[in-house]
Amino acid sequence: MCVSRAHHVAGKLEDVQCVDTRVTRIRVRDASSRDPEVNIVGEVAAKIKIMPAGVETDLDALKVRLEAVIPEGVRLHGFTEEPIAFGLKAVIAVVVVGDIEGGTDKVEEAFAAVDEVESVSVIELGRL
Amino acid sequence: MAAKPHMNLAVIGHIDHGKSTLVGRLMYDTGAVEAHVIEKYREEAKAKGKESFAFAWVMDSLKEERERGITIDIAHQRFDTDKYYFTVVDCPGHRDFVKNMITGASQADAAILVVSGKDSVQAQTKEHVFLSRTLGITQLIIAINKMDEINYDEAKYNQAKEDVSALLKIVGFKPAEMNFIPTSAFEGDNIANKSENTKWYNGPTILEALDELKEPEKPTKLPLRIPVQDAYTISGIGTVPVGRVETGIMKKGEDVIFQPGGASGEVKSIEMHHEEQPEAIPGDNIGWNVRGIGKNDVRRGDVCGHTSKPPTVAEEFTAQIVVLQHPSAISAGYTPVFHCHTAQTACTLISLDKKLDPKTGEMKEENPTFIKAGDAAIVTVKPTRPLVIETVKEIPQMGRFAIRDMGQTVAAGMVISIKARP
Repeated sequence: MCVSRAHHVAGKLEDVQCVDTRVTRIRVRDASSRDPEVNIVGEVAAKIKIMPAGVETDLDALKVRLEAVIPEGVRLHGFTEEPIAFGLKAVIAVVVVGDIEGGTDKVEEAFAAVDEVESVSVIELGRL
Repeated sequence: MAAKPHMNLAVIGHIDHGKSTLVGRLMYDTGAVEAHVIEKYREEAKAKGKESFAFAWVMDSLKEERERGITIDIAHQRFDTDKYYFTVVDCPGHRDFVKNMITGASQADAAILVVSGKDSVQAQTKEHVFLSRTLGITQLIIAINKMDEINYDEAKYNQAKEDVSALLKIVGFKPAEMNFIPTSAFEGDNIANKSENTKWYNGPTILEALDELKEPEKPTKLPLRIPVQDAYTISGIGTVPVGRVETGIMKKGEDVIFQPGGASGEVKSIEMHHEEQPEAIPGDNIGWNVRGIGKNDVRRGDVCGHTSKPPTVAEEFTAQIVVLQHPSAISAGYTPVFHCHTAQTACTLISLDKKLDPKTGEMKEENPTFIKAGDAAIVTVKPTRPLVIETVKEIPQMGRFAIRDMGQTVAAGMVISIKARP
């Protein structure tokens, strides 16, 4: 539900929060630390490009299926679509994962196994 | 006034050497963080009983702010110098992200390597130096940081500088041409302003060194290479491969070839964002249609180039690799999966040729029987099926790879030479 809202009103705080509440936050911080990174299990935002099976793939339905397979420990920030060529559009998902072993593997694998997904690739990364 | 040129800046280095603090200090000193935001957190810090203004606290709180701001754009931090407009690419620390950095869009035009003057070169310093070279980052600024913790001692600075220089030489960087700067990101020494604490240092500040960087150029003069991400059949159009142009320019009407398959034809049309384009340049995400190419002629992992300068299909290649993590040891015969551009191909390490000493960059051992985590080595590789790859010297964007095995990113590397398929 909240994901389709995130799609329509991208950029709004509440869209992000409704996804947020489902997962346990992994960040531990101690603000008195002089070096922030020492005490933080960092988090990484990843932009993932999902290519659909074809021009006729229903991307809204695809997003629902993608959201349903988000693994535990991964937060979805939202979806958008990127027009590619000749009517073909990619779905772009932004997720937040822990800066830990496995990286984006689990979420990439989960997305790749979804019906009507042709390919999955991480196109951008940044630590939060 | 003309817009300032943009640069992507990676900040790299060992985990607690002060990367975040340096980024925070840059944001703060360049005014990229608005005064009222700083003020807000300053008050909050005070309310929580912190009498003195805690810089780290502010920077840490800003992370929360940033996270709230991210939606569909990764909220990279931005700041301006006199000459450039920078976006900071804060690289993930865990090795399992290396695969993404190698196969994804190359994000950084330059990097600041942060090395603690107290601890000097550490495991991740080595890894990041190697990876930045592998990722094609040629411009490096080295911040010898935490100078406040070693009493701004010149001898200790020189020792760290020497250690880092040796490391840089191994991977082909030229430390003599790079700026080494003694800094304390925490105290603000030599970041925006020359420090009174390092009177023995005459070089530039971090901001001055950033302005000395050369403006990045799109690799339009290199041979055309477009790794195929997927190939579609679209009614009324025909076969449409999609992918991102890595190097060179492709124009309508030109003859192109898909390797390793070898199918070729004339480019009929190019589209980007659903709009027809006369040409495509590096960075463009396109779909294109080639006369006479069927769905079975092109697949993921293939590379499109001009027929006159076709992509190289390697029978064997030699590469320099760094082993990032491996539960035991790697010996000749090992056949993990190589992730290179959009291709994923099992390749056999047919020989381990040299092991390199990470301290001096010199050869430590010829024909070692095994290599393990932390080792850098020269190896000869044979793909189990045809693979398009290029030398890092000729086409850097196409000459790097990540090695994956058992669900881990085991190593990263770059191609030194290729024995091409006849």
